[in-house]
Amino acid sequence: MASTLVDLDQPPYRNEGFCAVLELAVAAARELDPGADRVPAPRASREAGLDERVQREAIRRLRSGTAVNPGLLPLLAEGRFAAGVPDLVCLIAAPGTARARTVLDIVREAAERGERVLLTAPVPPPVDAVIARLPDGATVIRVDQAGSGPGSIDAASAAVQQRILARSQAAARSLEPWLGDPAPAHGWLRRLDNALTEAAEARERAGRAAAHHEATVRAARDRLGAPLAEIARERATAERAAAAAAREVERLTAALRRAETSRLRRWQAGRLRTSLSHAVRHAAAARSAFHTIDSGYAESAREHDIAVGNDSVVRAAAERAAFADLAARRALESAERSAHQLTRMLDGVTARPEWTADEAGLTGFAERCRELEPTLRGRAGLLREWRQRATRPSRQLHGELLRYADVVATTCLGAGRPEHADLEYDLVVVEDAGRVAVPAALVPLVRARRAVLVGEAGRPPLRDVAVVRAWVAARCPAGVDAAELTGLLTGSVFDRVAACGPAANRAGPGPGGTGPASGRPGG
Amino acid sequence: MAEAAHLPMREVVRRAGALPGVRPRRFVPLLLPMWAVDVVAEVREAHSYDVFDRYLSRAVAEAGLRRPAELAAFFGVEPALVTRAVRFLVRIGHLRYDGDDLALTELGHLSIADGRRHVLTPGRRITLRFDGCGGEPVPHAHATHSVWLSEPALTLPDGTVFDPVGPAHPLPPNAVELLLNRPDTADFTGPAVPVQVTAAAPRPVWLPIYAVECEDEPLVFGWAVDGPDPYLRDVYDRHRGQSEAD
Repeated sequence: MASTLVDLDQPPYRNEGFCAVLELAVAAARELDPGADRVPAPRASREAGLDERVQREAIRRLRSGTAVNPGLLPLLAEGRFAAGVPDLVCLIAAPGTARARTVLDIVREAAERGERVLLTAPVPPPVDAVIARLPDGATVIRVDQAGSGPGSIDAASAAVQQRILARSQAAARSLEPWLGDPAPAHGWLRRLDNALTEAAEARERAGRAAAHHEATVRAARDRLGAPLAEIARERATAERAAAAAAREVERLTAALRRAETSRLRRWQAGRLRTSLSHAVRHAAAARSAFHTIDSGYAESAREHDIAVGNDSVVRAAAERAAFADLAARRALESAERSAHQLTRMLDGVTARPEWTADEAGLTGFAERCRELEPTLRGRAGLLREWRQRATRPSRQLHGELLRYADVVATTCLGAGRPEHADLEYDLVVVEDAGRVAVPAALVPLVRARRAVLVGEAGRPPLRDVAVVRAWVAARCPAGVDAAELTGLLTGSVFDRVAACGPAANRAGPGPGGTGPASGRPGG
Repeated sequence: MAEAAHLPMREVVRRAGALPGVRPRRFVPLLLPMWAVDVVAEVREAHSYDVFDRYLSRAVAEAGLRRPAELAAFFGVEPALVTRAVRFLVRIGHLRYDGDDLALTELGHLSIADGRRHVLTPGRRITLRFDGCGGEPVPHAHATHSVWLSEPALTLPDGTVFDPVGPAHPLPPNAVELLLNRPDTADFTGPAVPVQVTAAAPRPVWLPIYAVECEDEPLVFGWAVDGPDPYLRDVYDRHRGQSEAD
């Protein structure tokens, strides 16, 4: 093992003596249990001694302060539990249905909260029992499950790949029009742009043609309007005469009314009546003459309008304006068809932009599509690559699946295998912890922020105490705490923690098998 | 450094003699004055990308997907997996949250462009080396494959005595900063590229070389290169030029 420089004054190294005894316990276990390599390893012949290495690595992490739970070393070495932070809980329960259900609930609830759980035990069967009862939905991986059997990393990888292909199929189909060079959607967007450009040009041409038509009409009116102008003048003269006659009638009527009401002027009344009678007749004649001329004028105006409309120059200008207007409308209709196509291509891809079938609405829609196009092209290309990647069997996925799985299950020593030794967890559950020595338990414990040790009280020692004492008496180096070494070789991690932990860190299975503190050690 | 690491004179004689058209006249063992600066650096290292990490980063960068739920739906994976991958990418500084939206950091952009997952690691102790006549950084191959002496004295077991070329010129105070700002910093620092450093005072070091005077151009042999070393030749020439100018 590589040596590590440590500063004994620093807090992480305050329990250096305990760590040294741990290392000695690992070496002693090798001599006391020869040939007991318990790390599940398909290549065991080449990896002899792996269990010892993973335990030493765990001790190194503990010693150097790089354990995920920084309170683990003082807790194990001094029995110093962080106040109010039950980051290591002992679930004391005899083996059976209630305990299994409690462990299951702890694991399930933690996974449902989005925590990563490491489920371990000294041997595979307790782990298998829990894993078999976990509900579908959570990603559960048995890292020491060889081959492609249920729960193995190969099976999990294949399942993830199948899910990826199935779930992304609809999106891939929707994004297909945005893929390629040139992409169909890009073609429709170009058509929309072209149609809008054409519509704008046609609209401009139509405007010009309309203006030209109006100018032509004005010119034709001027050119053909001389007789009408003469009649208009006569009409105006007649109108003025009629108006003057009417005013004279009004004046005489008022004068007659004044004369009749005045004794001094009553003598004028007779003459005024005679004048008024003449004036009335004259006004009637003037009005009649005006109406006659006005009717003639209206008729002439209609004839003039017809003549202007029938003028060949005016008719040609009108036809050009009509054609230009039609072309503008057709270009806009073409843009609208492209917009409908694009709208269909945006279905299921992104929120569909709203648009109206006028020039402004279609222009706004085209702008939005242009903004979206690079992103959608990127999505389409990326999804195609992703799906192609998902069709290939890949061991590269294994590491990531382990890193991101909800539940990883293995034996205690298996948690330290080099392929996944750098994984960290929110919670580790050590099932049957009463059969796990402290150095072996450290392998999962240094990789998790919180831990639940599950076991029963009063189990026999891990090794024959007399044999261990004899070994310690014969082989324990000077200066090493012999009692500590004996304790580590004969006692389990469960015994050690349960013996020194406060009541808050001990629990039994809840009613109906629900776990301690809802499986939330350390909150 | 063990004595066995030094290149004996006879080996240089053999190498120079094997060169076609080269007629050596004199072999001069010399010590080039150089500078070493020990720094504690935050380094940027490139690792191979994992699959999810790479595609998630690309989705944020290229596909305009900003939220974990969008990413999970797009890739067809479990939201928890995306959440954890995002948490990991945030932790290594590739992604950051801008409100509820994810955004790629500069390190994330660099990683995607490079196709490698760049990770910043603080607290790395490294030694940067500079030549003693202009304060230019020493190429990484020379920095790692050369023998560096802390004293200007070296005598090989065969009696070869190395003499210093002269004193080193002062190292420019911004030499480290200039090195860090170069686009080719990795050529001088190796794959762990320092991005932020806390530098100690420079200390003088000496680099043993053999200057071979020939009938035409001189050659320089060192430890890092099997044949004549053009880099050392350049440093040697500059030292010699400065010595003659002085």
